[in-house]
Amino acid sequence: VASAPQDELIVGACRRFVDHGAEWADVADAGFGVLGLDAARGGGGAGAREVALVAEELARGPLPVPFVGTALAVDLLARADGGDVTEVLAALVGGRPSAIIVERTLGRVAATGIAVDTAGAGDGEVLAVGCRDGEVVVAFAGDPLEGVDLTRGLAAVTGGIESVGRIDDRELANWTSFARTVLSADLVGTMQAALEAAVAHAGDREQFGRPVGSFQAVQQLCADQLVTVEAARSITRAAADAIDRSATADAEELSLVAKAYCSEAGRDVTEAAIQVWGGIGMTWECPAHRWLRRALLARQLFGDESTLLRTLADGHLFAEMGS
Amino acid sequence: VTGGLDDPRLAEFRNELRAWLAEHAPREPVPLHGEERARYGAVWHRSLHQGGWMGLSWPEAYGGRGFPAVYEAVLNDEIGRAGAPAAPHVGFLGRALLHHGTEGQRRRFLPSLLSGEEVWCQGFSEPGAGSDLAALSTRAVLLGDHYLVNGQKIWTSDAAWADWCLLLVRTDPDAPKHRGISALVVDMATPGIEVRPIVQINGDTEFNEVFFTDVAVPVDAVVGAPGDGWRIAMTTVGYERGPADVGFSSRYARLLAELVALARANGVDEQQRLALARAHVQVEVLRAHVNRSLARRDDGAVPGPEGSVDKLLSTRTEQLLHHTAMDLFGAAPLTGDGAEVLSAYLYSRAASIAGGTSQIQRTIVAERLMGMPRSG
Repeated sequence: VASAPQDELIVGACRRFVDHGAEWADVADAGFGVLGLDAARGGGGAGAREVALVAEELARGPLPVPFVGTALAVDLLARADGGDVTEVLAALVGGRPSAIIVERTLGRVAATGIAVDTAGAGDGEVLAVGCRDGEVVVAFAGDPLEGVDLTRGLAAVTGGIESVGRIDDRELANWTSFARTVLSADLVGTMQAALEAAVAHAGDREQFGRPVGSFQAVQQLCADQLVTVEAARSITRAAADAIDRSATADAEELSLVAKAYCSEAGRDVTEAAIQVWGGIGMTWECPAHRWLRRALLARQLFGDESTLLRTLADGHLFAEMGS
Repeated sequence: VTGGLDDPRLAEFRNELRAWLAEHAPREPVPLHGEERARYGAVWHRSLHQGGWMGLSWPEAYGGRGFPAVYEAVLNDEIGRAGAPAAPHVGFLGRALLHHGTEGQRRRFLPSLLSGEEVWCQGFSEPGAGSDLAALSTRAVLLGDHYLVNGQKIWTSDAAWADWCLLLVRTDPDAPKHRGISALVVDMATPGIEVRPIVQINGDTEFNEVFFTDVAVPVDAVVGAPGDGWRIAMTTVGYERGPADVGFSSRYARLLAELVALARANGVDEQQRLALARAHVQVEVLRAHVNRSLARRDDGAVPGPEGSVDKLLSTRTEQLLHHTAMDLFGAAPLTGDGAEVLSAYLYSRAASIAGGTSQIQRTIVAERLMGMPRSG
């Protein structure tokens, strides 16, 4: 069940990280890397709701720390059985970050392909966690890729994979629901930050002798974006709450709905922010493109809206008909 | 009750309601037009009242049951799920009387409003005062112990059979426009009131024009104090936009389920399947949003500008659903087969106009929620 004071503590801590341009070590020291891991295994014992809240808040910076990669790796390992899982988890409890391995399409978790979230991991080899045929694997990330997102590093994973444990289909499905929800939250934070910054700019920038934010054409555009962001936040929280009350069927469906909605909304809202900035929005110097770039990657990870709408149609709305 | 619609503490209430609806919800469809539909609605209103489902969140002193506002949302939720007709919207107007009326007015009017014994209409908009409601020009001049009212109202639902009207009038033409307005409770049987139905784009006659010519209204019919009219109007529209009242998302879920069932029976192409999946996403998002709004809502407080976000999202959902329905039915409703689908679609265009247009809602969101500079 949601606890408002705890939410406030998490949000407050994350805002300080963002304001001070914190590094991974600061985030890990606060225990956020393993926030969702059972307390008995050295984690924070928090639910999906809190993990999603951290993802949302850190995305606002956006802060180039591998929180999402680490949170997804921790959750995947925690759902697996096998002696070596404990060892890897211990390293993450100790503050080491991790990337998550996905197929080259970015659509699902894999054992080789692309390690996502390698930025800000510091020197040394970047650990990555993935999954294939019921096996949870670890690998070291290879050559960095020049990704669209300036705050989330990518690297190739072509081999050197080591199995650390086994995971059944049901747990993998639950993990996928969690992954979609965390990415949705990341998109919510990205949208919120882009919109807030654009609105602030519209209050300062003057044309025709008035702030451009006083023009109804600009106001209407911004107001529509806020409706979208609030809706995205509502469905993301609903998905996280379903995970936390172990309603696995609800969690699967709501996480699909949330990720489908947030994927589409994420690009729309961050594009609208660039529009509000006008010409300045087209410059590297303006922060607007950082949020757009983050949204572009997050919307593809674990499925964009087209993919997920198809999943919803085939797997839910028209399930008995087959596909 | 902070868990929103799914709070386990509501389960018993929900079950009781579900059982009652299974037995009492009308089986015959809502008539499409005018007086016939009003009569049908009146029967349903009295039935809900006898079942104890009207005024769930209203104080017991005025015929309510004193529950938190979320119970109203559960009622709407279950009604939608059962495919029953909407509960009468007594809340908007009733809340204005509850917040601003005298004790005498509350005791006189609220119980019969809840029970459906007396029907009310809302005399707000005028031909020259739509989005700019504060520009209204219907005059009320004080002559001793009564006001003399002259002017015209428009878009007045139910005026043709209403017993009472909550009427906004200008009592002080010299005051700034928002301050010179008062709210009166007017007996619709008073001489000098003429009601003319307006035929809408779907052929229905839900709305009316109402003409007031030298209508005498007793001075004690003022709600609150003279000059309080704007505040009272804002309370009313605040509830009109609020989540408990627009939170009728289960009706959308039911409509969508019907469309999906139809699509399964007839077979549809990939594009239509995706359109239905998109509508499903929008319905689920609205439900989650209404739920979050309810959980955040402070019981008893008048809903604020955040209600405009809820209304805009609800409007998106309603209009997307009816587009989806029309596309799915294709030629049928265009060629005389499927009048209710066409009628519902046409009516859905009102979602972005009634209760404050989407443009007005966005201005409220921009200026009052996001703090953008006021537009000129």
